[in-house]
Order: sequence, then structure tokens, then C-alpha cells
Amino acid sequence: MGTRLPPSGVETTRMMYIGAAALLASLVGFLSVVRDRQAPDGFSESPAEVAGTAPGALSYSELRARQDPESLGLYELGLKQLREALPALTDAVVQTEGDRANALRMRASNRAFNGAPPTVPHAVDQSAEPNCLACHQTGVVIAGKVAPAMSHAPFVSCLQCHVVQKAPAGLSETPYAGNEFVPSLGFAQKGSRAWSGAPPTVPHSAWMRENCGSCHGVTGRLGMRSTHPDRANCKQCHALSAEFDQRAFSSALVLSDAAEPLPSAGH
Amino acid sequence: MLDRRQFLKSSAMTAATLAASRLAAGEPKRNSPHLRVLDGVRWDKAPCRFCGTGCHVQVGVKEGKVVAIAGDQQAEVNKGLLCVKGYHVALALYGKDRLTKPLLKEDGAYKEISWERAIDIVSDRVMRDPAGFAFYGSGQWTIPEGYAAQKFIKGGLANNQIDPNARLCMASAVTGFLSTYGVDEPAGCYDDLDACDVCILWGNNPAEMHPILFSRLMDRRSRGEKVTLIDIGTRRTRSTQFSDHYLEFRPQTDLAIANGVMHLLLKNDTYDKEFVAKHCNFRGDSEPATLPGKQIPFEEFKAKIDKYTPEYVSEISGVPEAQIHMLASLFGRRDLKITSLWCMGMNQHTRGTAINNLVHGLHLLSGHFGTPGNAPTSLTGQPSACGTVREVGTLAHALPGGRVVANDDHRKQVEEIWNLPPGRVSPKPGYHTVAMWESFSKPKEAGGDIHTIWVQVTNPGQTLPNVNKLFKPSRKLEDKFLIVSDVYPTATTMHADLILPSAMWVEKNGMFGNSERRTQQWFKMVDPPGEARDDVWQTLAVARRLYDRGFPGMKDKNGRFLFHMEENGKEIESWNFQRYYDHNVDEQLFEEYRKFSKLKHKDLAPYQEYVKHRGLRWPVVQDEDGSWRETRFRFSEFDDRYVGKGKKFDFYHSTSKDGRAQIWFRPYEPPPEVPDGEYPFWLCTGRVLEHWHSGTMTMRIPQLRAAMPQAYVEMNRQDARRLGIGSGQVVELQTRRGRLKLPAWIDGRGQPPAGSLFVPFFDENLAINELTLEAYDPFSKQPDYKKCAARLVVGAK
Repeated sequence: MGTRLPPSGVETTRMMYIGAAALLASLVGFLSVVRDRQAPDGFSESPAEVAGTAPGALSYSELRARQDPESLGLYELGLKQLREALPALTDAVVQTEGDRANALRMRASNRAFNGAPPTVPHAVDQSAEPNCLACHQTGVVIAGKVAPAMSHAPFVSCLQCHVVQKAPAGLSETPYAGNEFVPSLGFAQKGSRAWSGAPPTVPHSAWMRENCGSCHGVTGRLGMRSTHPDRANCKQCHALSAEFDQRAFSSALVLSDAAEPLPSAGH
Repeated sequence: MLDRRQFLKSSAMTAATLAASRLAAGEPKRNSPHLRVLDGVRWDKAPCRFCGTGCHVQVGVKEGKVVAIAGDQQAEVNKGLLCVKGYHVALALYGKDRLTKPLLKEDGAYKEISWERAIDIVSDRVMRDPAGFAFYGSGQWTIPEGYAAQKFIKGGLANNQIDPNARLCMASAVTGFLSTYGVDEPAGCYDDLDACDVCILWGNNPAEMHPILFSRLMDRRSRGEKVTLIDIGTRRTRSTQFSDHYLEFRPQTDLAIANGVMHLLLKNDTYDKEFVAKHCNFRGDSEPATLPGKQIPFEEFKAKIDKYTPEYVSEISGVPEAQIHMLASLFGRRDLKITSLWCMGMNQHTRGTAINNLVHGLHLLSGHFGTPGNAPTSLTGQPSACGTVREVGTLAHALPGGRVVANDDHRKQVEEIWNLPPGRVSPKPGYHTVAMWESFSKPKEAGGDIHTIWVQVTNPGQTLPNVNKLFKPSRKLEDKFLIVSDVYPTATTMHADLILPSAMWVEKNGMFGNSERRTQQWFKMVDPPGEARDDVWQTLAVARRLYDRGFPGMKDKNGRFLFHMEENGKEIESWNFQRYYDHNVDEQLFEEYRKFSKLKHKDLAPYQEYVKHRGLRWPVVQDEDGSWRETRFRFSEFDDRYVGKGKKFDFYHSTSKDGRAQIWFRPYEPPPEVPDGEYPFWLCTGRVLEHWHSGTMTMRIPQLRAAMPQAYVEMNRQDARRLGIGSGQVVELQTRRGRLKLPAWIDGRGQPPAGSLFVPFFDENLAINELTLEAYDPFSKQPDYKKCAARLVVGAK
């Protein structure tokens, strides 16, 4: 459970983040309406802890069993406050090209390629589907970091696509011959405009990205953010691309199969 | 910069020019009609390389390399979604340690050799003693790869020494289908997951192992539908977290549970009398036991199952009586649609055939069969365990299209299609997997007549059970020679005498067949690295070398090459790699193989139909208008063309020759090894979400490896407390066959009950199969990786 998440020797911001995630995990667990289950431990640090010499912390179900309405109210308030820490829809957005470059760099840091599901930069409950939505449905700010709103409608099994960046403590990484895509599919460039002042088209697939606000709204990184996140119906002005979305393809595109040479026959 | 219009125009013109030049050179157009180019990236369809679900991915290629993967929205299986393995699948191509040259072990060191020499060496091994040369392949063989190997061994060497790793994976499902319906593979399909009210997982964890099928089912809840999920298992998993009921049973007692439910259906008179009366027979073991068994009267079945009362079942299995009643009441309702899913839990079982029979029997007895949502469906773990192993028949006893070597007519049909002299194909089955490796591990004097095994697309050094007995001994024997075609160094290549570098996935043309009878096709999109080459080519090149040396088996009855292929009246030099992609060798092999598919009504469409579709489910029958129509529900009149009018259901390959399926009586029997004072724990092995099989591909994908970098032993909190073991603490796991040091994980990914342990098998550095038991099912010969006795030693040095 949260309080038992492993300390590690990484930089302070990461520590803060883990700490915040741990705190939040506790909140979520307490509020969670999912059925009873064993407390979601990661690897605990000391053998003694489970060997019985140190008292174990209460599980969520035990906490719930206490039916402490006062605390419950506190937790609810806590989550609300985390949500309120997000910028308001009407706040002015001031951003630079440097912000944009930084946003794209950050975006690339937890994806194998443009279009890959992002990996999770915090510990998660390995044994169960955690209640990811508590934070990621609307987005929250924890210790200055944003947990973004999801870009797609909630599917039930989050962890089947999103895996943790760092293995649970106790499972150790060993060096190996890694790999990457070279060249890699770069991140989408800016959409095209018919003329200056026209709304840009959407330069990427909208598949699994129905919620534009995830990246372009108040939970988005500065540099990718819309100047007008209060306007909710994005697609009425910003045209999608059928090709990007694997919908209809013109015959000309189908014919263009030779735009790049075929793989060679042999060596 | 070109604007969009200009771009379209110019690319269309270039295409036309190139197409014309291809035609001039006589080269067939082999490009996919689905290919599209966006921002300089060529996108085309391919089935995922990993599991048996058979998702389609969109593969993006730029500058000769894969640069991205996307879910394929036109694919019926996955409808645009992938799991974390699928999203990262193409990274498996780009590990820095790809094998790129043929390597020969000489004086303990590997030396690079030419392909010419490598092909000679393999041919030498055949020439010295063709009878002792074996092929060990896999359910990851593409259909043409498996077909080529099958023809090489059964038509060329005529020794039937070919078996696949799928023997370790779904052989019990095959024997279960054969003895129940007379013909292999599920009658239902994934559409059942969209329609069922209740889904029962029998020792199955699809949330991790078949995530796309799991989300296809469970995402229905997000849309407001009610889906009741019942998990019958021996440990809590991620799937359990979604289930409405969890039935935890003692290993092996799944048989008692299934019998208990059938007992209640009969006792409560809630079985489907009409379905049983019209479409079922009852069956029990014959003396001696055979796969078809013998027919028994209903009264005898009833009497035999009578002892499986809820009290008795509960006592054996540990499942509360109320839960047995609950299951029986669900099966007793006609208004609910029930789908059962299973995979390794029921197949890797010394009573694997029996438990498969029982789950089929339960669905038949209760009439939960053959309408959308009502289906007993086995899942496969490999992308073409069905397409290649089960349909092409790359098993020691089988021939293509559901035929067997022991059947005179079947051999004749095969000899005819292969244009072989009568009597070429041997009636004697070769060795099944465990026996093949046992023979290879024994000196010739001691009866070990297999002297050479050629391994393609699999990793037996890690995945055979009890590898110290079945794999390693041969490596000390002078006259044994191990040839391994693979893409990376593995626990098998490290012991090989000859390593052949292979092309993988979209580096070659290919076809797979998934768990729901769906045959899929893809084209080569990028070149393999270095001198890596297609496995089909490797097989054909050796066959041709043997032909050139006068080996009689590589000639057909007219003296032509066994793999003779023609295009426009000219022979194709399929053995010449420089010319290999001048033609579509896959299409050639598939069109020949397709001729075998009608006998068992598993009709396959022409190759070009699969080019058009994201797979088609057989039987694919041609309509009067010339179009090809797939079949979703076999044996059901409303969908299967082979069911006669008015019959409603027809099991047209029935073992009792009367169109009926068999409901078996299969008693519970205890497992061969159970925990005792010395080895007090149950040990179960299996997989995790992030890694596929022995991890040779997924452990080279940074995102997957970072999330799950090593194996561990999962244990119960009570046991950990009692033994003073903490999470992360390294403990030694011991069985009667081996020992292994692993970190313990308490309440980790899964939670075994007290007295049980679980270890995943993906980690080559922590190879659990040095500890597992090689005991196997008597019919399927599939070993049981799911239960043996073990102990934990804390503080072992």
C-alpha cells in the first residue's frame, strides 16, 4: 500500500512524485467503490515487515471497515483540491516554441514511438486493476506535476496497454542489448492552414485520442495547449484526416504503393 | 514543396510507371491492396507476431525500417485496439544482437560460415542416416513454413520425425475436440464474446495472456451491458479482479468440478433434453483406453457421475458446495448464453484430454452450444498453433488437412497431391515431442536413434519440461547434432552445433491461423538484417541440395524436385535466394496445401482472398456469385453450409458416424506428483502480460523489459510470514529435478493460495523448466507444467 512504497535513491522530484502517487493511491483506495481485495502491496523493503516483527499497516478494506466519515470527507476534499489545482479553462495561455519543443521531448520520453501507448511513470498496483480513473478521468495536479486526463474513452483493463516504466522494486534490471526504431516515426508536425488565420487541420490520428483536452486542454503540456480550451467542440473547426484515421482512402493513395522502393529480393 | 494534389498525382504516376516496369520484367504484383502512404510512411496490414488471438496491426515503414505500429481498425478481431505487446511488436525486429550469419560450432567456438556451407552441412546430416533426422518446429511457423517442413519430412525423408512445440501447448485441446466432435478446432469464434451473458474462465487468465479478447468481453460493461465473469482457478490473477465469482480449486480437481456440475444438471433435471436426445451420445473409456473410447448408455453415464455430489466435489476440490450449485444453476438456464474459455490451465494437464472432454460435455449436456454466445472455446498461445500445427498437421502422427499417417486412404491422398510413388509416406508415426528429445538425449547404442534435430522458430532449451533430462544430455554426445534456425541468441542456440539466421515476421511473406479458425496473410515489408533468410527458403534449399545429390526422397514419381513449382510454364528456382522474391513462394505452397483442406470441411480460400481480408474463418465456401464466405459458427445450420437443411445442428465428423457429439464420462484422478512433507508446495508456471513465451523477443523490447525485467516466485502472505520471507528476498526453489534462486513476490501480480507458488517461464536467466515435471497426458502427450511438488529454502548459499 501507499505507505509501504519503496524509497529509492533517485532524484528529489521523482521522490516527491512517488510520494504523491503513494498518497493518492491511499486516497483512491479509500474512496474506491471496487470490491474488497487484499491491500495492493508492491514489493516491501524489509523481510521483517512481513515476517511479523513489525506491525503491518491497515488494508483499505480494514480502513473502510472503520467507517470513519470524517476522514472520508477529508479524502474527498483532497481529491477535489487536486483537481482544482489545474489551470482554469479561461486562463490565458502563454507559450513559446521552446515550450513546444520541450513538450514534444517530454512526450517522447515515455513512448516507444509516436502512437505507442505511454508507459506509466509511477508505481501501480500489480495485482489488480487500480482505479486509474480517480486521477486520469479529469486530470489532477500533484506536487506540481500533472496527471493528464485520458485521451480516450475508458476501457476496463488499463494495464493491458500501459505498463510501468520501472519494474516493481525487488525485480532487478539486468543489462541487455536494447533496441529502438531508427528512423523513428516523429511526432506530428503542426496542422496545415488554408490561409493565415484559418483553423489548422488535425495533423495526427484521432483514434484513441477523442479527448483533445488530454493534450491540448488544461492538463496538456505548455507548448501543445490550445489557446481556447473552453471551446469544447474542437472538431467543428479543426478537420480530421481520414487517412490518418484509417478510414477511406482515395484510389490515388492506394496506387501510390511505389512511393518508396519495395524491399529488395535478396542480398 | 509539393502540395497534396500534386503529391497524389505524381505518386500515382510513379506507381503506374513502376507497375509497368514490373510487368515488363515479368514480376507478379505482390503488393497489398491495403497499402497506403502517409507522410512518407508506407502502412500495410499484418497479424501480430505474438499470441494466438490474431490481432491485426498496421505496420508503418520508412526508409526500409519499421517506424511505427498502430491497431488496425478494419480488423474484426481487435477493432483497432492492441495490447502492450502488440503496440511494441515491431521493436522485436531491432534488437542489437540479431543473428545475421550462419554459425558453425567448431572446437567449442562459433565460426561464421557461408550459407552454401551451412546447407551442405544440414544435407550431410540427412545423407548419413535419413531415418534419424528430425524437425522440431512450432506454432509460430507460418503456414507455408510448416507445410514445407511437413512435406520435407513426410514426403521427402519419409520418417515422420516432425513435431512442434505446440505439443507442449495445445495438444490436449486437439485430442479433446477430436474425441468430442471427431474433428479439431472450436465450433464457435470470438463473436461469442460479444454475445455471451456469462463467461467462464477455466484456469485461464486472459487479462494478461489474451488481453484483447478480455477487453473485447469486458469493455461491454463500459457500454452498460451485463457480463457475468466466473473465474475458476488455482490462484488469483488480474482476471480474478474483474470476476463476479471466483472458484478456487486444488490443482487437478477441475475434473471433479465439471463432473459435479453435470451431476447436478442431471439430478435437478435441468439438462437440455432435446439437444441431448437429438445431437449427443455418451462415451466412456474403452479397454484398453483409446482416444475415441466406447459408447455407453445414458443410464450408465448417469450412474457413473452419481458420486460427484456437491459434498464429494467440495471435499476433493476445496470449492464450497454453494459455488458448485451456483454454476449448475447457470448452466441449467436456457435463457443465459454461456461461453467457456481455456488455454494452458486445461491443456498442460496430465488429464488434459479428459478435462477438455468434460467442459465440452458440460456445454453439450446443457445445450449451451452452437448459437452466438454459447460456446466452449479453447484459446491458443501461439499465432499459428491452429493454422500451422493443427491444420497443416506438423505433428508426428498427422498429415495435412486433418489426416493421419496411420490411415491408408489418407496416405494415398497425400501421395497423390504430392505426386509421390505409392508407399512413400510411412504409416508409422514419428516421436512426439518428449519422446523425440528423449531419443536425442540418449546414445545410439542405448536406443537413441534421433541423431539430428533441426529446430525452427522455437526455443526448446528453455521451454521443454525438465530440460536437464530432455535437452542438455545430447550436448555431451558425440554423434548428436543440433541445428537451430532463429533470430536471436537463445537458450537453444547457445547449445547448437549449427545456427542459421532467420528472417522474422514482416521481413518475410507469411500466413498465420488464429484461435478462431481465421487464416491471415501478410507481405514482406522490410529486409532482414545481414544474411538472415526465410525459414521456408532454408527448408527448400536443403531439399534442393539433397535432390541435386541424388537423394531419392526429394524426387516425385516423375523424377522432378519434390517442391516443384511453376509460373507461366517455367520452373521457379525457389532454392535460389537471389531469385526467391521474384515469385511468391508462399502463394505457391499455400495453393498446393489448400487442396488438402476439404476432407475435414476446413475449406480454405485462394491465397489472393486472404490478401484482400484481415483474415477469413474456415470453412471458407465459395458462393454461386463467385464470392467467398467465411463461417463463424460451425455445425450450426444457420451459419455452416455443411449442415443439412432442417438439422439445426450436425456434427458431420462425428466419431459415432451419426452426426452426434460425444458427452464423456471422465473421472477425477489424482495428479502424478503431489506436495508431501519433503516438498510441501504446489508449483505452477505460466506467463505474464509483458512477455511472450520464452521472452526472446519481448525481453529485447525496452518498454516491456523495463516493466517486467525478471522472473520471480509468487507466494502467499501466510506462507511468507511463516517462513520469514519478505518481498524481494531471494529464496531457493527446489523440486526433485532442479533448483533455482528467485526473488519472492508476496501479493504480487497474482496471489496464490497458501501452499502454492507460481513462477513465470519467460526469463532465460531464471529458467524454471529445470524444475518442472515431464509427466504427460496419455492421449495428447502434452506435459503438465502447471503442477508439481516444490519446496522453498531460505538463506540457501
